[in-house]
Amino acid sequence: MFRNQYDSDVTVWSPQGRLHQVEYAMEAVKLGSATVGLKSKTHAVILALKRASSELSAHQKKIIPIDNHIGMSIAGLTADARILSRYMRTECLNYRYSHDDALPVSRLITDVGNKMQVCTQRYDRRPYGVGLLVAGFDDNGPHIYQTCPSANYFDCKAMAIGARSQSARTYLEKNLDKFADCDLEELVKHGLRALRDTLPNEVDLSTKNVSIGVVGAGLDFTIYGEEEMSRLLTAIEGEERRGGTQAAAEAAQPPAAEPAAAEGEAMETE
Amino acid sequence: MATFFGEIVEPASRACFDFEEDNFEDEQLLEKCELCISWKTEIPKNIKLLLICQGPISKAFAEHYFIDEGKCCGQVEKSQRSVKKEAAKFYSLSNDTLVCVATGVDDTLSTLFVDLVASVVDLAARVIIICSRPASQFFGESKNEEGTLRCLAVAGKTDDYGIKCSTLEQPNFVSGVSAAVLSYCCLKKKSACLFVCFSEDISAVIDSRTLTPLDPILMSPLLQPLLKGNRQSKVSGISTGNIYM
Repeated sequence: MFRNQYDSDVTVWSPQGRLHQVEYAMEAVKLGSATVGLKSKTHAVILALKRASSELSAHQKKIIPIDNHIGMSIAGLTADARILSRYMRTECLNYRYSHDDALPVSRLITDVGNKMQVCTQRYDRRPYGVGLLVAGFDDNGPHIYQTCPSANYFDCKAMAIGARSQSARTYLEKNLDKFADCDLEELVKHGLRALRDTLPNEVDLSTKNVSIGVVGAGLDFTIYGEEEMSRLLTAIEGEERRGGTQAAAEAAQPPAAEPAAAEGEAMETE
Repeated sequence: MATFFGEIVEPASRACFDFEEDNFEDEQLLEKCELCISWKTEIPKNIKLLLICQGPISKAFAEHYFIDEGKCCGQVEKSQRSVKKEAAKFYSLSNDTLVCVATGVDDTLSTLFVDLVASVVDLAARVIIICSRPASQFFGESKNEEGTLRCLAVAGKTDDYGIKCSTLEQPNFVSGVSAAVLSYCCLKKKSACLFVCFSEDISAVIDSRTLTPLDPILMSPLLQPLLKGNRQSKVSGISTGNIYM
């Protein structure tokens, strides 16, 4: 069942000037688990919540190394992410072979954006249903880039995408001024706190469901092992989440009624 | 381009439209799909409250807060080309409360479903319908990250449900079993209220945050006595496999 007659084809504009298929593709990113990226003056960090497709399988990898100086985490369609990662690795390898140097992160992102844009303008292709958070370090310092199925890309100081990522973005916005001067460990802890805010109260971060990737000055892109992650998770274990005492108070109180919508009337069913 | 004044010339199309054949195929499909209801226990003669849940989040909500698996008292089976599938299940919460979880009924079969369960709906004094829809189907500005709850009620029948909830504003609409049941209750001038939860969460595991938008429903004095003592912290939802990561 179509929502309207202009959403069956990516090459069809609606009278309001919208491309509905591209917008629908952006919804696919929200179906992936949350991932967070943030940077300081010297390092860029990406963290991801891993998901197991079934109880019999291991948690799927969310962070993909691209080159020595670039890694990315994904949210959305797994297969699309695989294709994009393969493209990015090829570009990095070709540049390194031709120039004997690492590909600048911004240039790679531009190439990815151009590749993704093609699929929003052809009738025989569909948009990529995956969002990327790319962490990299080059001559211009650390970078965090976000890409969307709309083929837009953004240079970010900190960002979160995926399911329930708004909670993580709220944490990142509140603490944004602290990231620049953080050391690597503190930066990772901030990322873990932001990621933890996307979880319900009864679920907590563990070495099984979290993946951490770091890159920076003098540090090639590295995905942390269990031991290092365990140490970091233990460091934030006792901390309250989602506002601290406010969150605890909210949990104790009965659920609040939803506020009235601006356009509709609140109806008390009595 | 018109060749005569007022004449409408339809553009040529590569698609071949043959409406008669299309209708014939649709009728064939509808004929072959049947619903049948079977009861394990006797239907209560007086049902104080009938709770109908449609959609994965509504089903998870009912399983988490109300349903005891052992108290299934009836089920609806869908048979199509000799293949039978479970379409809905009835659970008895107490002598006068029934819960119907209808997750296997397609929108196209909603009228058939209502015809089948009309006798049960007629016995109910009050009907609460809970359905869940993807957040992308919600047209409105007041969106919460965890979900948005709206309601529709039968006009003129405002019994005491005790639930504060905003009315579903235009141009949003509800379809399927939920809408069919509410329409039937409206026709029968029966007290009924529909709650629709628009949520972005369709992950394989539905957790407490997914169910949070439905919490206002728990404040109803009709449902408070029916809450389960031991609640599982995790219930299953739609399995998306490894398509999304």
